[in-house]
Amino acid sequence: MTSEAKDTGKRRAAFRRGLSAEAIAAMFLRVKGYRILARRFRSGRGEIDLVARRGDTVAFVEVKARSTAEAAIEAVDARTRARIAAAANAWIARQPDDPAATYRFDVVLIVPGRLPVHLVNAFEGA
Amino acid sequence: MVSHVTTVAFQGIEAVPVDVQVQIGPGVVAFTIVGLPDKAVAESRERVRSALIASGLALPAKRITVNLAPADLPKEGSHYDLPIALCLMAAMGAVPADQLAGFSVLGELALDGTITPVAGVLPAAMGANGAGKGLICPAESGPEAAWASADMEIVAARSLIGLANHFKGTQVLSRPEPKIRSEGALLPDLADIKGQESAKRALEVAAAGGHNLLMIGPPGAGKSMLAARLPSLLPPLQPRELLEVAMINSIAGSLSDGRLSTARPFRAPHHSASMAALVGGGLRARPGEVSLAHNGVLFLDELPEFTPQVLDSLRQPLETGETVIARANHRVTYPSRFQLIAAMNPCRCGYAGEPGHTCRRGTRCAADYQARISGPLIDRIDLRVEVPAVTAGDLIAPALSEPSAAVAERVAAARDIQRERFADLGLAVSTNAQCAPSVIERIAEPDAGGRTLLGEAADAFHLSARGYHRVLKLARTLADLDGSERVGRIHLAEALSYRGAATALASAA
Repeated sequence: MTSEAKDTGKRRAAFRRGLSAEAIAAMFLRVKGYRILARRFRSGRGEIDLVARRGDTVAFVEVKARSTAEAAIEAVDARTRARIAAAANAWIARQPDDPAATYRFDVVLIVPGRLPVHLVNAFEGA
Repeated sequence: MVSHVTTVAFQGIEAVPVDVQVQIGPGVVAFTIVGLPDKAVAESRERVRSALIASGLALPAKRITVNLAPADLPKEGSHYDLPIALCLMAAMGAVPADQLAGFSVLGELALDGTITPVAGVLPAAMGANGAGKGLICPAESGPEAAWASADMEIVAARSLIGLANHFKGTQVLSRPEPKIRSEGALLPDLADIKGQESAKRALEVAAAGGHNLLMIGPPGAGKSMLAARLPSLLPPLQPRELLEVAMINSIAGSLSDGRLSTARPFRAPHHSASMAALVGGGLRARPGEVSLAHNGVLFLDELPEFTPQVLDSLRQPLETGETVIARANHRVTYPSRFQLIAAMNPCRCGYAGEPGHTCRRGTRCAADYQARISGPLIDRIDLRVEVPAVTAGDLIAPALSEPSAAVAERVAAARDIQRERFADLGLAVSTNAQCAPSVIERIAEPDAGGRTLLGEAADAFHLSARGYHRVLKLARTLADLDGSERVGRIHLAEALSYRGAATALASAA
């Protein structure tokens, strides 16, 4: 977090922007044929913005809204990945066993004035 | 769905078949390699991923598990890239799996999908041929693989795409041709050396029978020059020997361009050599200088300057013609039938025994210096000659020395006699020096005069049992050089004289 973001008003604004970005991403994934299983899933060690499913594939989706695509990609750093992977393990543990499922980690980039970009299998979490 | 591709792991110069299995299945998306891979094999993940992307194939977003079976055999080296990539392609359906079944595969991948050369292609090809399979290898190693057999199928591809096209049938690759390295550089000639006639004679005898030779003389006498001229006297490698030499070079990764050479190896390691460098060993139990000198010459200049332990490690290979390297996770045997040529000064200051020279430390100087070489090692050297300093008269005199070619002819004739003799006896050896003691007693039976001489000499020189047989071997070579059927008194006398210089050395020690 930057020092300005500590200001409560700006924090709230960022949170709202994040929520609306997630709503856009969820809509976008639905159009692509995914079913949204969970939003803002939290476990003790991390959180996932969206859990989406299409067929046997379950995607853990991190949504990033920035002013440019590059900045959005850079925002998914190693620490973020580790938090997402930890949360994914927690999520999988709470579901009934599904031996046919493939679990992968996607990123959806939200950039103003552009269509969302869906990066399939953006990183390996295991 | 599991796909299989066969590759190899190397244990010495043996190629052990390894089964690469790839499963693409559900689970958390990941790409893992199991089956005791070392660092280079584990890193092949990234090379395979990049090479596939460069070839227009993306890894599926699935859980990919690669297993290298048998799982308890350590996998080392970079040649697993290509089999892993091909197995993945087969699992993805990019290459028909049934077409890969008849092949053994090895090769390294570059990030752009080209296949880069690896060590050990020749042993792998021999192994594949023995198992009735073909071989898929890098294009640059193709000529090397072609030596294994004239009728096995070899696909030497330049890139993954080329390989895929070959199996699709759109662009079929032709079989590589075996290549021989042309001997471009001229070897130094024996005619360059003035004087030193007795040393030249000893060199000829050593070349003819494959005997070990020790030259003792002051600095500047021409010992190293003489040794450097030995390769010009030696006959070219026989086809079977050529293959053995090439297998070791292939494992060591020193076959350039996949071309084989008929020249006998000549290895001259520096005296700082460690035991692992000389005998073999290290991280992957790699062949040492003794194995790289197999069927050729190992030249040790400044013999006493080598570490004594290193020198004594030569005793076993000298006797058995092979080196067994035993480590915690390796037990490897390399052939190492080499001819030892050594040169040394008589003492630390270098001039002991020269007229008009007295060492500052007296006789201790020579005694201490020569004691660095153990008796058992000296006992294994058949020919020991003194190479005195060249006189000014010899240097001024016009060169009348024989050229190497003339000597090489006599050597070749003597070697032919030996080879025929051992072939008649049904033995696998090709020189007198390699012959077993029981056989040498039969083939080098001296005449009556020779027998009395030998009896007397054995007592006077305190010949060991090995020394006795080595004198017989040397006498047999001398008789072969003469073209005489039986070993005469004169041959034994000369053989004993070469051993004599040694007795002096042993007593000095």
